[in-house]
Amino acid sequence: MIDAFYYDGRSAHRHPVRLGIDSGQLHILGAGVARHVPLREVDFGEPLAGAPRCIELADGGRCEVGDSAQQAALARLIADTDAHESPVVRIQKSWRAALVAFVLVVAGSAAAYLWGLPEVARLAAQMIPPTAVQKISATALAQLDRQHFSPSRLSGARQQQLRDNASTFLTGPGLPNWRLHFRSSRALGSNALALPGGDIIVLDELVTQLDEGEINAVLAHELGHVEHRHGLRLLLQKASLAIVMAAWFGDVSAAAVGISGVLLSSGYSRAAELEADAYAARLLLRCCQSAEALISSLDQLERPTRKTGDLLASHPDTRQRIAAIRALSP
Amino acid sequence: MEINAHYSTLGVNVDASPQQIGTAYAAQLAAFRKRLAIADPLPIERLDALREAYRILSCPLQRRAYDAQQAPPGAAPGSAETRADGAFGAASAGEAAVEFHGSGAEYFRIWLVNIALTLLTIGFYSAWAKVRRERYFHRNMMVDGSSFDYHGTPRAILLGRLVVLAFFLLASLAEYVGPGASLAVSVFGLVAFPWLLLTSIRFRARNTSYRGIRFAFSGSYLKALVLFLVHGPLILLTLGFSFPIFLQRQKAFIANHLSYGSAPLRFNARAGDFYRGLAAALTLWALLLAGAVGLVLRLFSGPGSALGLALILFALPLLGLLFVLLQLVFLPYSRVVGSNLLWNHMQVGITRFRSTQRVRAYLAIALSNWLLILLTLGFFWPLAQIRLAQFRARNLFVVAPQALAEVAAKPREKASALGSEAMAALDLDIAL
Repeated sequence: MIDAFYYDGRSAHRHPVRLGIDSGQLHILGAGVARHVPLREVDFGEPLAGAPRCIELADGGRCEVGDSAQQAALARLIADTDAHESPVVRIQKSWRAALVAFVLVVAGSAAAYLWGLPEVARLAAQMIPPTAVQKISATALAQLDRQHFSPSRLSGARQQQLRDNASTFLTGPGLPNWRLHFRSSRALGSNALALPGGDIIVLDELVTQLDEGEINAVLAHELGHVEHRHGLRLLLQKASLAIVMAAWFGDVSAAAVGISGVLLSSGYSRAAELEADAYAARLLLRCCQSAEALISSLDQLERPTRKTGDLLASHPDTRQRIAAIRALSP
Repeated sequence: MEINAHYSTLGVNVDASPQQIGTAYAAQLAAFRKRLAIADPLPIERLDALREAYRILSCPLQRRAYDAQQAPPGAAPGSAETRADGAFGAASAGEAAVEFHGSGAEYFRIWLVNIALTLLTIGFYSAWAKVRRERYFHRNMMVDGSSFDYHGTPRAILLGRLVVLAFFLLASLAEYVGPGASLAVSVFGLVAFPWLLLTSIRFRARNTSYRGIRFAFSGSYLKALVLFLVHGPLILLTLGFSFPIFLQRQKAFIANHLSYGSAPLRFNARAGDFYRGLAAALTLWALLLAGAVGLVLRLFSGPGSALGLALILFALPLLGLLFVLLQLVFLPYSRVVGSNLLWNHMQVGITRFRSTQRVRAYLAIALSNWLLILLTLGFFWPLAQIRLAQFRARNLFVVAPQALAEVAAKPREKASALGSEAMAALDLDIAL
């Protein structure tokens, strides 16, 4: 028999009782208490080192076994019944299993970050219907127009000439549809960007800085972002990372959540830039037998900015990008 | 009959002086009158017990006779182990220390297995993990020889997580759909937040038990809405000086709507108590604000002064410093003061609490936890939780816990309360 306290679930009164198990029943006996509960209505809980063993009955009653010797005796009684300890409880008790769990956590998160999430985001981005993509693209452009862009100062003729140039170069089987927009922005400077729906925005500052071959190379790079749906993929990846990081660091500090999110997602956006470079280089090699225009556009656009280091940068180092493009050229 | 029942009825220690007994009796009577005034009287038997206790204990002769009748403390089966285990030793007679028996090594393993399984199941196991975590902390928390317990089911927790996740995804998508959708989601979030909070507190209360009796929470949506939409913005409008009022309302909202079985909790600290408790922090805050205003005024009156230049140069670092101060001093300070005020002004029947948290001790634990978690890239988290639980338990005592033994469970709610049942069926991980 095992010493325990019994609570009937109707009042907080504590009944000192003795427990026994036989013929498929848990017997609870004490002053004014005589219960015989079928074992299938009993949840024996799990043993914890310092806490009492809590036994829950289906009707809301419960027993607590506090003393460790009594707990051990109870465990022996339970082992004699058909009740099995859950595998999770067994794993939790062993340091070796805990070590395996630790390795699994580290390797698993690394694998999820390097392959799992990018792959899931790629598949999910393909599943978003084109009409939704167009809608997202259009609202994003409208928002950018309100907040960052001013109208282009390029003449209509110049814009038409650039459009025609790009059309001859970037139209063909297997190439996604695109629309060219001209804008100007002092804050963003020499830059071009692509929205998921195929809207490519070129800023005046870039047009004045580069020659036409280089502009086409930049457009090919942006078209790479469109083809690979980078905008949507990065969006999904960043949102997932934010949720995971909030779960991991949320209780510690908001700054840790933010910084870790930026650090991890900048890795994704650098990978996207390299992918777009490779796409543009292949296009250039096909039409013009050389990706030099892309390389010189990167050279031109590299401004003497302060080094932010590799970890935080959204774009890879220019030399690294050029080396990667050269590696593709025959 | 409980040991030293008359003492616990009055809520005093067995070595209380005649003055203390008189004051306690007056206070208990005042509590009765107050409850009568709000048309929520305590049972009349308790008044009788109170009168009887005072009759005996106020007379030195009768008190001595009564004391002799009582078994020496520790001989009673119920309280023996609490006293033997009174590891922290500061609980005086009639008090029970809150004990936390969890160990860092054990919980670290549980946590690691939880994380691994959560990862393997792409997050779905997290609901089961939460049940294991809560059970670990509840069952290791003991008062007067009985442990707490947690009864939330993984299914309810999973459902709640899915709801919150859906809201997050919706909110982040709305940002890209347009300003209209974004605004709509923000307004919805503002209105929904008190509801989510309420659901969360209710779920937690219902699924927490002590001695086989569940807690319950009855706060209304409207009150929660007022708390967050009126008292929240008021803090900004008053430059932080109404924060003690907010803290008082928040604690009162929770404590006054909680009940242990059929016994309601009562919280009687006023905003004044919170202003007194936070006086040092508020003074420092006022000085900082005055200093900032003074600097800005100097800047605009004397153009081109060296001070102005320095201020412009150091404006950002200064703001950062202010933020760090807020995080490292004001928040821990108000957390400790809030905890102490909450417990020290709360009662269930005649059971009271004594909280002895110190800001400096809390800060030492919170800061070292924070640093160690960052240094270990998060892996110190389970040990940090154990340290915090130990700190809270070490600093909390229950006065007259024996009185809780008489509490009855709340009668089952009618089946028509379908809405609240549906709400109780999901857990939203939000806490105050």
